[in-house]
Amino acid sequence: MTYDNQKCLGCITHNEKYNLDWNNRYIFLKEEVNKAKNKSQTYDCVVPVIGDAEDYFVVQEVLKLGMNPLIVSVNSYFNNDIGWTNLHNLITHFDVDSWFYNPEKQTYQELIRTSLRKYNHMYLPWIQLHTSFPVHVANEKSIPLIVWGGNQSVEQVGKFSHNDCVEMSSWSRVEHDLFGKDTANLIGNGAQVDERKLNYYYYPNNLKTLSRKVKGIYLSNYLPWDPLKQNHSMVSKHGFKSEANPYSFDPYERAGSSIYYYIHDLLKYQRLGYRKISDHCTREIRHGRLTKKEGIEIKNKFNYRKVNINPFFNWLNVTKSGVDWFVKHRLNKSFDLISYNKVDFEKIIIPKKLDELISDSSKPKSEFISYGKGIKI
Amino acid sequence: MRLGSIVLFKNGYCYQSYGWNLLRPLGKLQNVITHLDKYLVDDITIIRPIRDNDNQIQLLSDLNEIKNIKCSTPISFGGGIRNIEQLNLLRDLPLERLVFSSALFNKESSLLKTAKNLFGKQAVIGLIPFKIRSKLQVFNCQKNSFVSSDEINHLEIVDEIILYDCSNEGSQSGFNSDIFNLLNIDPKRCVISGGVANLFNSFKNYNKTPKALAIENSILHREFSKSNYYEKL
Repeated sequence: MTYDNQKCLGCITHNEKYNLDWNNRYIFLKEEVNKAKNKSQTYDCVVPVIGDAEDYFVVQEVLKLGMNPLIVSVNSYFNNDIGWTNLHNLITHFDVDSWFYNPEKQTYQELIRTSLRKYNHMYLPWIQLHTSFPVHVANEKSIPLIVWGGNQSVEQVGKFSHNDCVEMSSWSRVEHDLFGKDTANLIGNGAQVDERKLNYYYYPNNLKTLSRKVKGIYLSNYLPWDPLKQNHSMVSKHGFKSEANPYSFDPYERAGSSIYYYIHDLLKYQRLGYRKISDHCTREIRHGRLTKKEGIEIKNKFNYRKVNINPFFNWLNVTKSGVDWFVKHRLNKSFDLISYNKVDFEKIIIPKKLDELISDSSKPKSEFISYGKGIKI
Repeated sequence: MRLGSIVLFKNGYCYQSYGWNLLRPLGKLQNVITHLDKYLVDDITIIRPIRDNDNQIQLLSDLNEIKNIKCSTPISFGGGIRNIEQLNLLRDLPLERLVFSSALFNKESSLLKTAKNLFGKQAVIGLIPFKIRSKLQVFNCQKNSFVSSDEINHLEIVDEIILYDCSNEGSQSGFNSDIFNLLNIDPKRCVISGGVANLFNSFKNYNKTPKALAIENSILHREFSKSNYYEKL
């Protein structure tokens, strides 16, 4: 985190929101949309989704702008039943075309093992796919625009100003989405994978053509981004199903994932020293729905909750001795947060101002569903 | 006209600077350079934004990182080179040109002349950070303050001059071309930077085209290609 005069860049950047002319920015967005419409032959834009509440919001806004989107999704194999329901409901509710990609599972799992060994990160292979496959689709099908939702490097940590209007690029993908670790770094000389199966893990390399054909924009540069408020409205408006989250008060972000607040969050704590709840509290302090004191209190209540790591390692086919080795050597700062059994928690009371934006949520019935059918017609 | 890029680099990390006031992190040097390489820019200028706060350990550490850069684009380097011992540290580095700023404010010219003898005149570049409010002021790094442009010396020794508009730094456009008249410099000798990304606005009032553009922060804010950039002109 970087500070300037005692204020972090995340807060400095957040405060820009109160001085920007959002009407004018929306006009810029419409100009981008019109340019794309004039260039497109089939779909006007690609919308990469995972099926969480932010995706519902993005699709809603894209349709409001009169675009014909192609929804593109990469199977992480980590969805629970709520995740699949939300993903398929997104397609049917908005009645949009979609393209799902199921990466070859053996290679994918080997890359996850490699990523765990090298970087203590289990999500990197999926992020590589999620940030490159939609670009391949847009490039191959000559779709001129890719519409992403919030730009985390602006919204969360303020690495850029809103005025920069940062777009998707191969550089920002590696630097911000992949933490400097692209696929070539990941496989190195340790992964036992057939490189011919990695095409979609790599970003398209024809940057000259790509920069002419495809532009990737973030809606958060054009709309005053308020994730909790936006996501809350998706429940009543479009039938998004929120998930009761034992590790944060936010039941929308990454709802339907069997790993995001579990092993992924634990590894984040191990690598960076904080969990997702810190991000959520910071966000809500900036939006004025928590005081700093309340934020710290809430963070402390969620922060020390244990995570059952067994379901993930079972999914990855890791032996007990393998798990023991990993815990001993790679989770050595997180012993107190590890459980090998299901953990139940009491509900944490949150301030009313925040609670008003939290919907009643469901609990998943089944985890780690590789291929799900989410809705009954 | 050449199209280059300026990268601020200090303590092992790259930064983007806004209005000579606010620094935001940009990332690791090699990743930045790799992509500028892919974007086919003509040259990359790495500047250590040293004011009055440098030390030898930081300098050596940064130089070591520059030594290990993998890059096929010509690299210029400057920032914190204030004596001949430090100049000698650059002799084994993969650098095409050297950029001097505070040396332009020295009374005597031995540092610049030594650089010229060691590396050739074509390799010696001057950097003048400036702002024009009611009058022209230029930044003297050693004093860490803006001073009168009368204090600038030795421009005849350097080959090219980078004119860096501090007020418009980090913005898409607005480079103040009055600087050519105020400093009485031929634009054909100059590389301009600071608010030059959007050429349409920056160049339409120019009488003469400068020798080169060096885009700061914003070159990495979107997918970039040099040839596409020129096509838009």
